[in-house]
Amino acid sequence: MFENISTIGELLSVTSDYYGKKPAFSYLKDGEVHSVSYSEFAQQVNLTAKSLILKGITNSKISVVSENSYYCILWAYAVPLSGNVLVMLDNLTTMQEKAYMVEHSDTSCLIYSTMNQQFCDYIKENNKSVINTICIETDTEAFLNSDPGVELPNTKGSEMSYIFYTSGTTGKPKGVVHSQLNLLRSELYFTYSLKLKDTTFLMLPVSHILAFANIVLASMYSGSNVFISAGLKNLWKEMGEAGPYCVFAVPAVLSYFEKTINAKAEELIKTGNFMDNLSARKEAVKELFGENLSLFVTGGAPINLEIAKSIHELDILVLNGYGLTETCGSITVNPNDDNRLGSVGRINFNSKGKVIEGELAFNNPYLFKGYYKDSDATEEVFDGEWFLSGDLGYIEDNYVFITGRKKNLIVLPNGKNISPEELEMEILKIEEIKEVIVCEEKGKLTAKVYTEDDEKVVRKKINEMNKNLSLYKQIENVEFYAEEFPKTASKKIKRGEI
Amino acid sequence: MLTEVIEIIKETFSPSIEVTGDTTIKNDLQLDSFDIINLTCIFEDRYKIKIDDIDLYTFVTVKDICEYLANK
Repeated sequence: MFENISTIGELLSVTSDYYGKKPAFSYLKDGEVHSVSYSEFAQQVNLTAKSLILKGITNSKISVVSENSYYCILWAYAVPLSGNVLVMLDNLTTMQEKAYMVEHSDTSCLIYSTMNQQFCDYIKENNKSVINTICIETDTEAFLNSDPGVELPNTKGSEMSYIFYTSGTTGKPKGVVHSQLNLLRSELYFTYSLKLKDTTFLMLPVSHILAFANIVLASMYSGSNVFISAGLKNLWKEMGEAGPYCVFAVPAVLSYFEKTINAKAEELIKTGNFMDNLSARKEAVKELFGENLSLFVTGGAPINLEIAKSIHELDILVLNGYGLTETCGSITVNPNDDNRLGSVGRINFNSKGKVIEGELAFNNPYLFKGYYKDSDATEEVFDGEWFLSGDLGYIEDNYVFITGRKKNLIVLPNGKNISPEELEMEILKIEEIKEVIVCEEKGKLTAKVYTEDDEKVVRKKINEMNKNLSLYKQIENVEFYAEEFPKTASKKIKRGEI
Repeated sequence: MLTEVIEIIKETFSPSIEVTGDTTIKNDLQLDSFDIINLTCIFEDRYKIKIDDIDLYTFVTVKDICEYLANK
């Protein structure tokens, strides 16, 4: 039944028929849980898409910039359904970075949340190609309440429908192009390995492929209810209401969960009602996450195996997956019934993997369609039909193990990819700094700096620079060196020797 | 305002270093994003304001937080 779905329209129609009144999405608003059923969701996405067409917004690139919300997800479904191309922007990057993506993607319509009002004003002032703007909070209702008598465009699902921006290794982000068919088929196979049910808790940003594809799209196949968290501030209240079966988390979040469980357990032990640490931790899980929690699914960065083992003791599985924006998110995941700690998971059934000169390469019919307006970069990442992941590793019994990175890209525990060269160029603008290496140390973005000047002055200037960078790109740790860094014959700094 | 913010930071995180306006949140205090969210929740409650996630990256030093709160 689900095997032949090629378009968002078909996905909505089939899941609406099959799951009907079951909740598809839930969220907390004014202290109360609101739920939208599969059939209501299909209807609302259809209305929104048709209203876009009625407004004359067709065959356009539409950028969406918003924190996670039900309406944000509604638009993320409606835009491709209306025949337009959806460009998902990372809400928490700087205005300059977002403006670059809007311009590079040829966006002509911007859908934004009120948090991004200032950004919208900036775009209206500086980018005359953007002719329509829609505010999610104030304008969405009007789209939902009209009943436009227009037809949705026919599509086979194979044309460009999405652009996701991803960190390039040389600075500028690259636009990864996907079709509806790519994403939907990839998610179908993902759900053959990872079985979801009941409620899935969504706290990762939907601008990231992991949340967008592996949660928001994949959950439709499983009939799972996605509980949309509005952000970390209300996390525990929302978690208590949702009582999820599964929570998707990046490793940084997983370690935060483990810390919180342990702290709660210590509180419980003090009450004197618990004989041992393990039963106190199990009770802490129930109080924090509800009674149903069975799975943590992680991806985006390497997990800490000790943390995973400690969580396993609580009868909760930690399933690691792996993928890139180019592979529609997870191309491997540990299945519920055969979890192998240390591996990033089994290669999805529709895909093949092999190692080319140490580098992991993947092949399936639903890989990305290329980088937007950058055919050279596209050519570079393919060896024939094989996509070169940039990660080093090996494959055993169809399970993938990662050993390192080929491309010089830092992957932080929060799942963010960072090009060190981009930051090094920025840091070298500080005249007191002669040489710099940016790397990750103990999960923190670290700048190793060679300077002959006062460390305090340099520190202050790095702090100033941080203010103009996205939160995840800010330097968290500075180490000073009084001597030049060792170099290769071609005068390149030997990164590995510092 | 500065004294009050420093007090809140000291109460919440008991840092081992002296906290001043120039103390940096990530480099010096070594707070991670969850700590920063926790801190903003405390400020929201204390000053009855709303701090958008998008503003968090402008907080590099303790002084930056004070300036932000003063402008709210």
